[in-house]
Amino acid sequence: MRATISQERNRLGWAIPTSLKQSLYLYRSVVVLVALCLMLVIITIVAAGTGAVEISPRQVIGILLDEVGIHTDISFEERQRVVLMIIRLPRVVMGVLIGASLAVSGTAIQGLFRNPLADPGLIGISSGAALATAIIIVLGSTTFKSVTDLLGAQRLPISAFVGGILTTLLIYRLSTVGGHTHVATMLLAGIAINAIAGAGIGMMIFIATDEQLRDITFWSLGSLGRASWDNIKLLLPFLAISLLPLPFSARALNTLLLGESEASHLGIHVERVKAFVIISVALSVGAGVAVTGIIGFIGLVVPHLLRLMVGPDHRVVLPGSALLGASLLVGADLVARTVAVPAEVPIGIVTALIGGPFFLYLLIRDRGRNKLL
Amino acid sequence: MSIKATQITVHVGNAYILQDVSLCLNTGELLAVVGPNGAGKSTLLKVLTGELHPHKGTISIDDKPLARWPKKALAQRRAVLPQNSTLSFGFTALQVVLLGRTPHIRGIESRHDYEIVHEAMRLTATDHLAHRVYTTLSGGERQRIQLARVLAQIWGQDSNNTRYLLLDEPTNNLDIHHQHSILRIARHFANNGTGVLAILHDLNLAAQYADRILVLDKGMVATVGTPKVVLTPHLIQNTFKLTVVVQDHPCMDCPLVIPVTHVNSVQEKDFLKQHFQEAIS
Repeated sequence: MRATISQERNRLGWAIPTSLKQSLYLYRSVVVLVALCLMLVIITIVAAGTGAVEISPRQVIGILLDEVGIHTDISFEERQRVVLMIIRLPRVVMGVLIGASLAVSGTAIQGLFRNPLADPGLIGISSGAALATAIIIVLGSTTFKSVTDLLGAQRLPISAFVGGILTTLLIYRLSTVGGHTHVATMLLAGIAINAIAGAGIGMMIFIATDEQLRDITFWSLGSLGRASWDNIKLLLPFLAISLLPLPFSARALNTLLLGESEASHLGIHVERVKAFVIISVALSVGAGVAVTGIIGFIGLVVPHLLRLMVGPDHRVVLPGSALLGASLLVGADLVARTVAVPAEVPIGIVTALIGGPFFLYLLIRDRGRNKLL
Repeated sequence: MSIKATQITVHVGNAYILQDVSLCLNTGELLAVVGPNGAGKSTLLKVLTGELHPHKGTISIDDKPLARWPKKALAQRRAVLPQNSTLSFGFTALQVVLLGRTPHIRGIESRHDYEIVHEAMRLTATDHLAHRVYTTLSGGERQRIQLARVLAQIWGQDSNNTRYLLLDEPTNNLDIHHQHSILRIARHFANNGTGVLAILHDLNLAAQYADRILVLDKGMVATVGTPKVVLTPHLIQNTFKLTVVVQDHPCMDCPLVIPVTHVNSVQEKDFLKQHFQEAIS
């Protein structure tokens, strides 16, 4: 009898002192974060070296060191240097930034909504941005000529950005009564906004010319093809303002998983956290869509993978999502531009092909357990 | 030192949910709130915690109006156990209890926080669940983990703060053994100076553990006082519409409420008969 009890305790982890197990958990979190860092570095170097002009990983490192003034004995051609610095590197850096911002936004939104199926697309931020771009593409030279003239070459990014922010404000207003945001109302409002925006985009597609249709497709499926140092400069301040402070709300997001009133009883200013997270996500997603179009599924899949690896603690999941999201998007972009050379597949197709089946896998795994919704 | 509610009124349209409810929860006492379903018990708790603003009336904690308490300072003194928990993310039980230390933590959890968490889990007999994933636990285990969380929140024997514990039906989902062990813990906290308010359904649990019982009926305070004064057949008949006999507990100094169930009308007999037949077929 005694033996069975101690065996039972062993199985439940009783024999191991709790503090040791706790340090094992911390140890695993650190290992996962370090591994994700390494993965990002490797994928970045491989992606930067792959394409019509081959650059070996060694040469990539050599060129980069050379750029910052450290001369090595690694030999490379001038042509390789130009391709890397002007074409490849901006694209990879853009992939890192957008991937990290999508994944971090997804994590924060899922935490806020206490719903592992939420993502920025769900509450209409992305589709609002896409509708604004579609309108400018199709009607920019006629009905909205004044807007086109005013915004000039950056008219599409700026209108996407404005569209995303406006949609977020609208949804926020719809679901906030007396300073209290109803999360369920917000999800439902998001569904309605998505439908309306979908109708609007459909209307634009219906009246678009062939060439405009191409532009709309590009925008709704996403691409890193417009990456340039100028675009990165445009994007960076928005991402920095909105994403860098998010880790500071990690503990608040953890308590929010218990429920809003529980978080409030633990001394969290719940409404402040909600407003902060929603505005951050709107800013970063709006800015992201403005430059790359809509890229789906990164924000949904990455937080899930992280939680499978390290559990739901946002203090680990938020930085981990940034690293994994960046790796995934750079990897997906590598596939998108090499799989059908010389043509380039829209990256949205690649991420959807990864994300869709994964989503189904989650549903099947949790079917009947009623865990996801 | 106390939580004081004065003439609280809450209404939805013309329907009054709470009407002129006043109560006082002193430190060091266990106050049980009982009443039939829909009497306004949960609404009263929401008003006491500040989640719901009453249409009339005031709440003060230690003679300072509730609205003037900084959130964090309040959370260090007062913990609230919710009726049901909605956590659907895979925290381990230990992490859930650790969340209770949130108002005390600056930066990262200290060794002291972990010690408190382990103590709270030992007290609620959940230490063997520490590394299980919360969502895989049974309803009763979850309830005890949540209790450990709120205990950890106001643990600090080392501080001079007043402490309050508000429990919304803490015995939900629990077997009779754990019902009693949870109220024993609540009693223990009250004996050590915490003001404990518990919404309860079982009148005998209230009788055995509470210093005072407040009976809420149709949004009004029917009566408040020691178990012996409050729990009379007359009052229980009036508020719960149930015939009972009340005796002295055979071995404890408190009343014992025994419901009298006998089928005494033709309609009731017919009703029961019909139900049995449906159950068989």
